[in-house]
Amino acid sequence: MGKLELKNLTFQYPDAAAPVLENLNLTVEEGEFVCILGASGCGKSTLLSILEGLREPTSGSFLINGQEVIGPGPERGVVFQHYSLFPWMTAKQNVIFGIKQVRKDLKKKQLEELAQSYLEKVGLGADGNTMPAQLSGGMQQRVAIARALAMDADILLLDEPFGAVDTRNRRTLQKLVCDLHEIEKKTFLFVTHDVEEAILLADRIVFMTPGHIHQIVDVDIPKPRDYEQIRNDERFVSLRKMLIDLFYEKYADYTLDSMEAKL
Amino acid sequence: MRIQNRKIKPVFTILNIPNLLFVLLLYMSTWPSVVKTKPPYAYLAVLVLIEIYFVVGYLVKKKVACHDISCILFAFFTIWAYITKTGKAHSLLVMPMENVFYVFTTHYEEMFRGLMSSLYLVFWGMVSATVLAVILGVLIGWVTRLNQAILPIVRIISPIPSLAYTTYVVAAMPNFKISEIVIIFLGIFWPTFSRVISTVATIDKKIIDSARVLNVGTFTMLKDIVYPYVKPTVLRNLTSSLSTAFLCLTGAELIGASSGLGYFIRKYSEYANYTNVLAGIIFMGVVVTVLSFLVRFIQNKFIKW
Ligand SMILES: Nc1ncnc2c1ncn2[C@@H]1O[C@H](COP(=O)(O)OP(=O)(O)OP(=O)(O)O)[C@@H](O)[C@H]1O
Ligand SMILES: [Mg+2]
Repeated sequence: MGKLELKNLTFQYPDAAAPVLENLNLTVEEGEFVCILGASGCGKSTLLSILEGLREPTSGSFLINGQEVIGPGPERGVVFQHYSLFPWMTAKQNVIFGIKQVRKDLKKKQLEELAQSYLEKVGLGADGNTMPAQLSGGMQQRVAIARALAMDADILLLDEPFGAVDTRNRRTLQKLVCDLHEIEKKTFLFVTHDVEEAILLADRIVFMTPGHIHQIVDVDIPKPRDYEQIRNDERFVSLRKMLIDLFYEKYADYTLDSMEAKL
Repeated sequence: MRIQNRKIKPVFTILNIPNLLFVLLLYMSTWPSVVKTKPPYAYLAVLVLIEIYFVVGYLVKKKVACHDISCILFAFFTIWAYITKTGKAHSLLVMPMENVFYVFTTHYEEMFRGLMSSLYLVFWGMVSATVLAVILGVLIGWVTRLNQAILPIVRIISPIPSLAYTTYVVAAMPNFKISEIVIIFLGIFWPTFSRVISTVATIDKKIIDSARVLNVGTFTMLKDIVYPYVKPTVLRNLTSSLSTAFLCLTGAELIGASSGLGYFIRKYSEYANYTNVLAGIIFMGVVVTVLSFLVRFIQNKFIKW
């Protein structure tokens, strides 16, 4: 069960002049894969922190399966934008720690095996005993993904999880996320600023302008999708063009040129 | 570094400053002395130990520092021996090194007893202060309202050297052993406590957030997240705790006590037996060095990140 609803959700940082999120309304059905797309600073991470239960909305509400939510819960697995492993635990200990919080019944050996299987899923089967500081940024992020998946939550909240991963590994991980979604029918909320990634993964794309949901776009390309196969697909190409145009239009005064001018 | 592994020319394996000083020192020990000199065996043993350190460290392992350190030690002994043998200084204050090291062969039992009683106090003082500081620090640091009230107070108390309240503690406690532990405890507790509180209060928010989204309860948060987070700080702090402990210990033993390393020094100062005093100081130096090695070993073993 993993239906997610936002009702008139508004959020303002305590000392800020204006709200970062204003009157958001969104329903994500159980088992759906939704990508949140928007430029840097438009409030994607802030929105996710509310869904993670780390921040409370200033007004409006956030419901899971019709129930208002306060704080984090075992039905939600999280991968942060920043690296978030515990630096004093090995990669595997990090995953085990995550599992232990939701599965109190498992013995040490079962925990080990489960953690190992998730590390293998993200391609780090051989790196279980490495400390996070000895892993590259992308590898750390993959361990964080393994940790979130291992919790076996109904809803997965991922904030630009592949931002620091190179193209080849990114494709592998995108495929992994696709497969997991196909097999396990979990609800995915996936933040990205990569238009192609959004089209590849999502059932629906939520396009954000600063503080607002501007438009929700359905992706009518049958799943499973393979990047090499669909990238010349007509629907892919036109959707891609549409979203990129939207970026240019909505963030017209937000280009790198204007940023440089400010500096 | 280049200098660490350079080749030593064959001539210099025998003809080098430490070797020459070593031979000179052996020769000087046969000189007649103005003051009465005790059997030199212990002293010679120390010289031989330094020579072994030099041979192994420099000639075998090629560490330049070993060469330099043995140079400095031998040079010091040479100057000292010259002064004492020629009677250039007050013999009560600058006595032959032979006599100083001889004390180790005659008073070893008393020194060992002193060592044991001092170690006992240092151990319990350090352990109780550190454990309590960590437990209370983690709890208080975690609760914002508590740490904002308590940290400023702790910051006022912790810089007061605990030697300042030595006499007060001695008067207030039932016996000297307890008051010594209390003094060591106070010397270590406040700075450690203050450091733990501020480390917990400024803990990386990302780490706390990643624990919170894993549905971690308060107890697990403190035990498995906050405690491991402050552990390296506490372990690094052990180095200064150890020197504080010895400072407090000797300070306290110089005032009262009936055994201990500091007591040994005080007792013979009262008899104006500065030979024994010097031996006691050297002994304490050796003990502190060994303990520092132990602390560093613990740190290397347990600081993993
Ligand atoms: N802790 C905070 N306190 C005050 N303002 C904040 C805080 N965190 C973020 N903001 C502001 O809120 C706005 C949205 O930030 P947010 O991190 O949600 O953006 P984002 O869409 O995730 O951007 P990016 O793609 O760069 O990660 C920004 O203008 C930012 O300056
Ligand atoms: Mg963000």
